[in-house]
Amino acid sequence: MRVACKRSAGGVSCEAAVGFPAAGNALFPESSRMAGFGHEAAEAEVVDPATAARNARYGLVLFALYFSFYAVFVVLNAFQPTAMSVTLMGVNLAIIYGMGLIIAALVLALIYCWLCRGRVEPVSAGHEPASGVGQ
Amino acid sequence: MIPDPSPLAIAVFVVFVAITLGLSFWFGAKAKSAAGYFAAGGQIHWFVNGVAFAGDYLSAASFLGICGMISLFGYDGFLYSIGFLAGWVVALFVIAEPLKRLGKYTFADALNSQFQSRGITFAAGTSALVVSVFYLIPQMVGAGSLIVPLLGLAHWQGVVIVGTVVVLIVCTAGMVSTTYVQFIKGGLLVLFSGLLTVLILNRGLKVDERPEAMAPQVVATTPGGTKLINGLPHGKGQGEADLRPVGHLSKLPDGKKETGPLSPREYLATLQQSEIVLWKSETTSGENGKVVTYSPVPTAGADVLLPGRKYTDLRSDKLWGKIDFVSLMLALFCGTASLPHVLIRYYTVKDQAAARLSTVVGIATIGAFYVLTLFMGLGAMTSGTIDLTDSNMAAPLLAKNYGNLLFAIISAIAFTTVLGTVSGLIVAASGAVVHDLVVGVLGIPLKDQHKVRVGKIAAAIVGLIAVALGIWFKGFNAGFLVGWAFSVAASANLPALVMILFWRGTTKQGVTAAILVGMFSSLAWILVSAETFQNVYGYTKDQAAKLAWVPFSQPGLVTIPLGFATLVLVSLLTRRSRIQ
Repeated sequence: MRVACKRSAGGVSCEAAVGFPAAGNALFPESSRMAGFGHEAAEAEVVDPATAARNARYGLVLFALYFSFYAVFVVLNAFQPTAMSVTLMGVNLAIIYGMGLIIAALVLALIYCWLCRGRVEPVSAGHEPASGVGQ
Repeated sequence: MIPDPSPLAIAVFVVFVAITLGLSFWFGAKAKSAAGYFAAGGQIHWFVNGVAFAGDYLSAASFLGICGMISLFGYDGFLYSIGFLAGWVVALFVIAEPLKRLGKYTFADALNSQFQSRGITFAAGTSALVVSVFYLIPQMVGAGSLIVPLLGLAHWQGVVIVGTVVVLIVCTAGMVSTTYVQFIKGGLLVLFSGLLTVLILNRGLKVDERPEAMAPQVVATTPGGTKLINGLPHGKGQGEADLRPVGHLSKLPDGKKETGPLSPREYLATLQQSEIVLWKSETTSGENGKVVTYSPVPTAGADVLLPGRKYTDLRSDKLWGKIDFVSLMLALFCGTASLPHVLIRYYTVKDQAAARLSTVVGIATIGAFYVLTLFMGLGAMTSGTIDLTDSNMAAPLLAKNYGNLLFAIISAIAFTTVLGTVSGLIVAASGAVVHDLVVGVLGIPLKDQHKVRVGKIAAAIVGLIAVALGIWFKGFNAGFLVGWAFSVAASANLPALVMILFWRGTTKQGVTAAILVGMFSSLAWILVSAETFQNVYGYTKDQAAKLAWVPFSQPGLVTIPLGFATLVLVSLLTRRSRIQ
C-alpha cells in the first residue's frame, strides 16, 4: 500500500514543502483509481516522506548546478563561438567543455546516489516533526 | 551508392535477428498479464534496466544520425550527443523518483494520480501517441539505411522488414522481452563501438594524395527519372558509374603522411592541426532535370572541430539563427525526461532506489557511447566512408572499412537496436491507446486479456503508420528528425510533469490545457518553419525562408515556456474548482 503525505493545518509537511502531491490519498482510494482498468500492478513501495524530501532537495541542487554548466556552454557556442577555439594540451575548449558535460553528468549522478543512500531517521519524541526542506 | 552485400554479413545479420526474435518469443511466453506486458511486472533488476535504458535510448538517431552528422559537419554533430546526454540529468534529478512514486503503467497514470480526470488522460495519452510516432520516423529511416548496404535491398524494403519484425516482437512479448533484448543490445552496441574506436585510434591518421580523391561528383536526374553519375548511367556494370564514398585528410602537421597509432587526445590534437577535405553540394533545377554537384572543400581541422559548420549562423550576426540553436539545445535538454518510452522504463523496476540506480547505469553507458560517437564520426570523416547521398550510412561504412565481419556485427547490433527502440516505442504507444484512450477516455471496460489483445492490435496499426512515414522521410538525417520528437515531447509533457510534482496550485484543467497547447503549438511551429518548407515540402532555401511563418525553426524556446505559462494561467483561473 501507499503511505500518503500529511498536510496538517499547522504546518507544511516535508512532502508538501517540495510540492509532491499525495498519491493514492483518502480522496482517491486505490480502488477508485484508474477506473475500469481492473489489472494488478506490482505492489507500490512504502514511501518515507522525509527521505523523499531529502532526495528531492539534493536532486534540485544538483540539477541547478548542471543546468548552469550546460547553459553557459550553450550561450558560449551561440554568442561567443570564438571563445571555444582556446586550446589546452592541443585540444580546443569546444571539445573539452563538451566532454566535461558528459563526464559531469556521470559524476553528479554518482554524487546524487551517494547522498541519497539510506533513509532519514525519524525524529525522536519531544522534537518538532521533521519538516524537511523549505523550513 | 549501390550496395555490395557480402554473404558473411548477411549470415551474421540473420543469426542476430533470429536470436533477438527467439529471446522475444521465450520471454513472451512468460508475460501473460497486462502488468507483465506493459510494465514487466515491475520486477526488472536495476542494472539490467539501466543498460536497457541505453538500449532504448541509443537508437538510430544516436548511432547512425550523430556519427553521420559529425562525419559531414564535424563538431556540430557532437552537440547533439551532448544535448541528448544532458537530458538524463533532468530525468534523474527531477523526474525519476517522484514519477516512480506516482505512476503505474503510463505517463498519464502519473499525471492523473491525484485528479482522476478524463481530460488529462486524453491529453497525456494523445501526446504519448504523437511523440512515439514522431520518434518512430527516424528509427525507421535509420533501419532502412542499414539494410541497404547490408542486404543489398532497397530502402523501402528495409523499412518494411523492420516494421514486420518489430510488430512480431511486440505482439508476442511486450515489456519483458523488450527489456532483456535492449539490455543485450545496449551493452553490445557500446562494446563494439568501443572496439571500433580502438581500431580507429590504432590506425591513426593518413593523408590521401590520390588525385581521384579530390574529383568532384555530379548526380543528374533527367525529367524521365533516369539517374546519371558523372555523365554515365547509374550502375556497377561496364559503361556505368556509381558515387564513390568520400572523406579524407589532405595534410597532416609537420608534413607527415601518416601518424601511426594515436591516443584519444593525440588523435583530436593532430586532427586539429591537419587539413580535412569536406564536401559541399549544390543543386540546380532546370528543364533538363535536377543536377547535384558535390565538390571537395579542403578545410582546417581547427575549423572542423569548432561549432558553426552546420549551424552556420553561429558564426554570423544573424540573431534568429543563434536563437534557433539555443532552442534546439533546450529541447534536447528537456526532451529526454519527457519521452514516453523512457518514462515507462521507470515502471519496470521495483522501487525508487532502483529507478535512481538504473538511471545512473543508463547515464554511464550512454555517456560512454556519446564520447565514442566523436571518434567514430571523425573516423568516418577521414577514412573515405561517407555516402554523400545518405549521412546515416557513415558508421556502418566505417565499420566496413575494417572488414566485412565487423561491418556485419555492428550493422546487426545497430539494426537490432533499432528493432528494440521501435519495440519500446510501440509498447509505449499501444499502452497509451489501451490504458489512456480506450479504457480511460472512452470508458470501455476491458478484461486483462482483452487489454493485451487491443494493445497488440494498436501496436500493429502504429507499426504500419511508422513504416509509411519511414519510407516518406528517406534521406533525412535521423538525428535531425529526433530533434523534432524531442521538441514536441518537451513542449507537451515536461510542463505538466514538472508542475504536478512541484506546484501544489496545479489543477486538472491546467494540466490538460498545458499538454494540448504544448503539443499543438510545437507541432504547428514545426509544420510552418523554414526547415520544413525546405526539407519536407521541397522548396529551395531562399523560398523556404520567405514562406516560413516563424522566425526560427526549432520551437522549444517558445513552446516549452508556453506550456508552463498555460498551465499556471489555467490553474489560477480554475483554482476554485480544485479547492471545492
